[in-house]
Amino acid sequence: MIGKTLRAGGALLLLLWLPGCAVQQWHSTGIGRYLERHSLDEALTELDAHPPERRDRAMYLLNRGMLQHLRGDYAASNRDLEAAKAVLERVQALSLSEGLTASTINDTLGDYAGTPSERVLLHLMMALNYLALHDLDGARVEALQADLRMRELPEAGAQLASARFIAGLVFELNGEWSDALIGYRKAAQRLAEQHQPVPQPLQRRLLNATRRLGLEDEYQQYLTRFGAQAEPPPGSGELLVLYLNGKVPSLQQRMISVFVPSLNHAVTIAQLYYPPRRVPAPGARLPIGPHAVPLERLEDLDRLARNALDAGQARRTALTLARVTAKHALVKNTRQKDPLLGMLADLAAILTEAADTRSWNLLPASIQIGSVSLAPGHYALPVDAAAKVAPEPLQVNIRAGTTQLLIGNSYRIAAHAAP
Amino acid sequence: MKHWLTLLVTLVLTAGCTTQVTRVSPDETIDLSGAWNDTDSRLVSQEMIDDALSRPWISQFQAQSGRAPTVLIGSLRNLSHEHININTFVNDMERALINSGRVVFVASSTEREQIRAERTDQDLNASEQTRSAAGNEIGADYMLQGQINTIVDVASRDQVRYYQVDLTLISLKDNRKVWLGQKKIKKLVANSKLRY
Repeated sequence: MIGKTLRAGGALLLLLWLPGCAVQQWHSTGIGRYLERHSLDEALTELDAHPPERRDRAMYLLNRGMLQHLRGDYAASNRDLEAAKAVLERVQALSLSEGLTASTINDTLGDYAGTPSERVLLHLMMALNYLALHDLDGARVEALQADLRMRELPEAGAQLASARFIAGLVFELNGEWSDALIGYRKAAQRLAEQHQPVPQPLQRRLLNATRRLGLEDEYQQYLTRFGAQAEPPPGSGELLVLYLNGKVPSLQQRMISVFVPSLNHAVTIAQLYYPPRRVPAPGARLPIGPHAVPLERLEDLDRLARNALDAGQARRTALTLARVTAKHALVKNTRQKDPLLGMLADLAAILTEAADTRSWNLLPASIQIGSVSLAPGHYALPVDAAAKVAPEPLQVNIRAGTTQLLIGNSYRIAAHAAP
Repeated sequence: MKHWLTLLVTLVLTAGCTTQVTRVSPDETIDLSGAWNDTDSRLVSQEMIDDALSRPWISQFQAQSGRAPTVLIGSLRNLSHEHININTFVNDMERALINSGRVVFVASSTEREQIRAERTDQDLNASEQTRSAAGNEIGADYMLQGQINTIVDVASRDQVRYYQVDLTLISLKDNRKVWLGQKKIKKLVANSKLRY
């Protein structure tokens, strides 16, 4: 009798604990949806109001670092991202206990380890922060670490044209043209693999780097491919815009019933999905004085996230089916011994079934670049509150033969780094 | 018996959750992540300065000018894969050189800006007797420059990290390089593939 009561009490405690888990997971993952209706500052306050579980710490730090970047606090962003980097490094080792909980309870009880592309994008975001802080050496460190990460992760999703382009840019700004060209070549190669066009700023850089390094044959090939208009006019300077557009969708889950022949029974499983992809808006144009900088897509992170979800589908389905089969067997066994306890166990089995909706969901939907050749002089970014451009005009100083960097996002354009 | 067992298991489990602090000697070598650390900084700076002080450029300068050479630290760039605090490395080198008594050190360009601002302020606000006049700075004879480079080879969770620190002492009078120092460190970092 006492044993029965204890078992029932244990099951009830489990039931009381589970809704708490669900709420916690919503706070961890829901910040992406929260930002769609609130300001950056409000989103940061909301994020900080709910300290994460230890297992969600990496995702919390990644999202916090992204929010800080979007707000323009680049030093704070790097502090969060550096901390996220350390956590992600630690959790890459295979956990035996997490493997056990994933195969018996659900996927969400393990440490968040990030997707391969997220682990590379972490370095890219930090490099952007360092560029905005005018710390070229810091940006260079992140460019090298991104390269290491891409060498370590063979997955196609981890090979990012944007990370290669930023590495090339950092080397270029450091005057290391040989390494810059390698970065630009790899960016163009990755875009070709994805059947994406080469954006104009990358065309310009391939031409410039090959010309400077005296690689005449390669220069002529690019000139034939891109046309002479890709060359900057003599005596001009360049304004290069790096623009983080929109936000990746947040992962969602739906419960579906699947008939399992081995059980001769239908079981309920949680399935991950992304909401339908919005048709990307045509390339925006950023007004700079009398000019407008056309923005072209360098990386489609929305597509990357969907591809990563598809790539993991087979593994997730196999794990989920194994788990629900085990749960079903346990419920059946318990029901035979004690109908009340069996009912509670059945309820617990359904409630514990949850898909892992965690992701770095404050990442931009795409990374865009644009550049314009300008005559030396001062230019002002106009105030455009509706377009969430700068709250006050930004002064950009263009010098002949140099590149001025402008880092912005859909929420605000406020940083310009002059190396 | 069961209660004792439960208590024992609880104690074992919670023991791992407490924060433990152990004081260790600053000279003790502790490698946690395999990244550049205080031991690397200290050993490299000490070895390179010992090398610099044992080379003939000092004695040659003293023989020609009859005084100790004045050195200035220029740029020391971190071109490695890691965020390395260059300041601790520079401070270690500066301390070792000054304490050797064989070299005179002058403030770096950043430090000089602050000192010059203070001197300008003294011109306006300090008494004639205590004022430090402008135009009495000691010009450096040599500038120390350098960089830290790395080559990292990676396979799965293991890495071989190769650090190379290059320092150059350049004569400000005629751009001659009077000393080239080089120190290499190689580390094999085997990251755990399993965790609890």
